[in-house]
Amino acid sequence: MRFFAVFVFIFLCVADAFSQCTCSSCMAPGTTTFGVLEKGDLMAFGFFKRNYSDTYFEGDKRTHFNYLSNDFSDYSGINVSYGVTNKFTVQASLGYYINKIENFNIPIIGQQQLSANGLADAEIYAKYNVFQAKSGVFSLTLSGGAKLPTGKYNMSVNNVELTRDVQPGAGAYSGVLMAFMMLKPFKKKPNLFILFNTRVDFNGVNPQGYQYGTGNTNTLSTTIKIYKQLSFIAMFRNENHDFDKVNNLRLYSSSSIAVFATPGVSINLGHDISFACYADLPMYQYYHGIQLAAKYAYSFAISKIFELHKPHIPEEEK
Amino acid sequence: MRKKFYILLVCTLSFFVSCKKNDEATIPYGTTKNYSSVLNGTPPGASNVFSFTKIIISPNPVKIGIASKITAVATGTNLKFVWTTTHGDLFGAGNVIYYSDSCIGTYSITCVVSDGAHSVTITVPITISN
Repeated sequence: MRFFAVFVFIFLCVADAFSQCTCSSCMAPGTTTFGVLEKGDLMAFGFFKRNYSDTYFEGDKRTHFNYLSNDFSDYSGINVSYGVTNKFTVQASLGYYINKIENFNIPIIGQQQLSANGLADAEIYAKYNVFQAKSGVFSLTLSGGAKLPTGKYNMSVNNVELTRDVQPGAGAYSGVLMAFMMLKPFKKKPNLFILFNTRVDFNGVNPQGYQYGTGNTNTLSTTIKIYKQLSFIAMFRNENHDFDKVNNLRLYSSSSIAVFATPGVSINLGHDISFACYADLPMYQYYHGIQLAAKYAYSFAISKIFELHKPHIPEEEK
Repeated sequence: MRKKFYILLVCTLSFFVSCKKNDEATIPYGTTKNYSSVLNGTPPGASNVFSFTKIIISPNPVKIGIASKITAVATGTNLKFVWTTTHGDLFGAGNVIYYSDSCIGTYSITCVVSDGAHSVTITVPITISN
């Protein structure tokens, strides 16, 4: 079980897209860890993520539409998980937008900037390992949780409300379902894992009548040991985002499909501390209407496991 | 047993019927004005000739990616203008601001004007087109 704890991965939850004609960097990152912890283990990790966008897409093609010059955000936070039993783990996370900035270049009014920062929406989850093959070749963990509207969604400057894209919160509750599968396909290579994670976000309507579309994020990943405690993480991520709604009416340019390559490296620093960094590189993007597309993102995470239970002593050492 | 089965079946079907999506609805178009003048007595310095009559959008409809000037036509002293929109980007402050959006559709802009003694809210639709 401990193996999975090092796979701390921060991914964008498309369902939380803070979209005005969606831009990937407007999305509120969700966080997840794969699998469950051992009973009595507490894992904490801190993370940072930078998103950047400056290119518009129409369908799956780049378009020369010029409205936002660029859009970026810096997001950081903490995530805490605790193993209640060997099969059941609870998790909570809270993030903070250091900044969310949009730089516009609009005819008539020229260059403009809108920005905000603040606490983002909190997340709570419960995970249960429903199946673990005795041979260890297959494991299935199901999770359910919610996002809580702890972030502000209606911030203003000089009594003029800021655009939804830079608001740090969604203003609505969301339900989240996740499934995680681990497969060891080759008996001769016990260190080779294939990990699959799927997540669906069902978003509620905020007090302004805005509802982010249902989002689905799927990841397929594996690790390759490079040198001693250093591993390469290969991950592909698919994000599907349904239409957002304003007062129950579809927002024309708000649904999307995207596939990202997310290479990363993870290093075990000892004492149950690990550090990982990742890059997000879009491989395929399809947007309904004209939308600001994802350009790149990078993230860092450091995690530590605290053993709050009595250490297990093998029989032969007693 | 059979009775329980039918009850369960009816409950299940009613759940799906109630959850049916209505994604094909069209955006209603029209002007909504919500006057909510609050008269709490006139504080020192406040004008007796407070009025907020309309919001002017120019040009209207708004062209996608181009800014339109939004003017709140109001009279009085020490006026405070609070602007919100259901979608899009607002720039500036005071009685004249600019609105722009990169997404076609019809949304609304709301302005609340107050002078400390009176408050009037006007909401107008705003259409973004190609």
